[in-house]
Amino acid sequence: MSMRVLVIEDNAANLELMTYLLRAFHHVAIEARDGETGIELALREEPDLVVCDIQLPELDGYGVLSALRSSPRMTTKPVIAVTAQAMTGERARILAAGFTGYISKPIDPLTFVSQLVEFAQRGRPTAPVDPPRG
Amino acid sequence: MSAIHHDPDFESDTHEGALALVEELLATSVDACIVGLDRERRVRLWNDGAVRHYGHTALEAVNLLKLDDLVAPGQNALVDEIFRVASVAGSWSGNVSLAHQDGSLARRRCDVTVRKNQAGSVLGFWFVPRTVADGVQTQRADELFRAMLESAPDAMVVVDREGVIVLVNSQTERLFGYERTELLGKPVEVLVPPRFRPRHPEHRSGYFREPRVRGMGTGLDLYGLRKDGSEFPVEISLSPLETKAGLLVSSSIRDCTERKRIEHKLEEKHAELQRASQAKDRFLATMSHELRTPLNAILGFAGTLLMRLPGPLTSDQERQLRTIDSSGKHLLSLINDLLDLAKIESGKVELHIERVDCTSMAREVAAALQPLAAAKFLSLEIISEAREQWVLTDRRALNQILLNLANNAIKYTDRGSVRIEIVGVPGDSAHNVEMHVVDTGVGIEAVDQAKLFQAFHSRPTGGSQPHEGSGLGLHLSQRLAVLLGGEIRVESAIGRGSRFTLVLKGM
Repeated sequence: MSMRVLVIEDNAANLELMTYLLRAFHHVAIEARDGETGIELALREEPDLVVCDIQLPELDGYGVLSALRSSPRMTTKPVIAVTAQAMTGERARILAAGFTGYISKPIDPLTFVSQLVEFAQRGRPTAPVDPPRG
Repeated sequence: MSAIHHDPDFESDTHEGALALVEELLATSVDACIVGLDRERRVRLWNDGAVRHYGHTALEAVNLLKLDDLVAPGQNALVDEIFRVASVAGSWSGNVSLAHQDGSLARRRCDVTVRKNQAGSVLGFWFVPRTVADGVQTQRADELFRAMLESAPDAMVVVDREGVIVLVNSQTERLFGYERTELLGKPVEVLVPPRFRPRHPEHRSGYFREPRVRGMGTGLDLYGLRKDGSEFPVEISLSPLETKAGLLVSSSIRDCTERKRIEHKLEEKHAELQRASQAKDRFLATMSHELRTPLNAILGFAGTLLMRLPGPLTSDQERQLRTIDSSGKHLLSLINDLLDLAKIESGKVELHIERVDCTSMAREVAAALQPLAAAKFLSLEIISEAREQWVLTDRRALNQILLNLANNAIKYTDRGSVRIEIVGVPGDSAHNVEMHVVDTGVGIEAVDQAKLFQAFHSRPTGGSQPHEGSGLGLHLSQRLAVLLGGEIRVESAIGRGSRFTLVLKGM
């Protein structure tokens, strides 16, 4: 089943990586380079799933999430946080904020898309997915 | 005349027994001077207090001396008066000049009480001078009290119920800049800054309603006011003082300017350190984020290429991409380990101590590393004498240590097996648990074993593999083990493999 996925990420290389992987696995990727554009596209395109970086210029991932949650059409859509922030407490804060799931950077290209599919199917996951540390 | 013979004998025959007892009591009360007289004012009872006061022994006094011998000459009229009044009114009190055996005189207040029989006729008298000894003691206590007051390190101010200063010591003069005479009789509020004065009487009446000792350092911010109008921070302790004149409050007042100054400095220093620590934390968080962001693209696109998503690869391309991938992962593990180490160094590691089963923890770790072991055709086994082996520890830290030890074991072993053994060891108080990670790998030379747990010390692989670890893994694991109240030990011999033992406190 092909999904329409909105990816909100300010770093061009990482945006390209995620959208490339999605398209390689036959999903539709919609790109946004900042939070405001992301919200606008989400409301207009109504994607099946949103992937959102936490550290964005201006409006950050938390701001994007709360804007999306206050819109009736996006209230229940899965929103997955992606972050390079590895400090303790960040994961708990992300899940407490109401994100459907959490993937930490660097992402694992082998499993990234399947993780998103799983989030979309299951909704809130029982345990956040974290790649093994080397 | 037999009745008359008995009558002046001081004791009434009807009370003989009781009086003997009283007499004995009186005779041995050393502190009070008590003299028993008959109707003729002759001494019939002379107690130890009288011996001490007058100097005459009982043998010298009883039946031989009369009251007239015990008072200074020229007081005959007074003595007559005393006995007349006492006989009629029952008692007399007043000042009498007493004459001691050594000829010295002393004017003392004396109490005279009449003794009568049941018929009401006078048997004799008790003569009780307030002895010199009492006076001396009072005087000594007074001196002692003053000396204590003056030697106290703090200013001491005693006030009455109305807040009037009744007593101060010299430290008070020094601390507040007043002369003693300027303070006595003044309201204590002169020592209190004006802004605290209106409520001060209220506090004082509150204290008098429930007087109790209140120590210094009760967390109140109190200030004193000097004569020159300057203020200074003080600590005050209060204690109620019961006196004949009524309840007083004694307050000790200590200048705490210096303490406050040091406290203030400490607070400033603390805030400064906290700012520095926060800046360091922010720096670490930012650094970690900034390093991971480009690494995400490097590892990600190396991955997409290795997944052959864009197209087929030549064997050279694949080998070089694998080098990019492994080097990138090496860099990532360095970043992670440095971050962990920084957290340990700054005491930022939060341990969540809970019951953890070492056996199931070993199974989890083995499951995670099974693909790595399988890729090298190594068997990965768990040997446990018990089905469960519980310890109180931090699950995440234990997992990190065990993962690191087992990962190393696989890395440095080319053939054979890697075993995780779980052994309960009876200890002094608790049952310790040892987790052994045993490999059949290259082994470590004795000289290298000592350096193994140092930061950035890398083991020689002895094999063909390039270094993949950060050189921080074992150092970190040991630091974590110590945090958990345990340690990691190593036994190894070249060519025979290694045994890393994690000792944990059991339950």
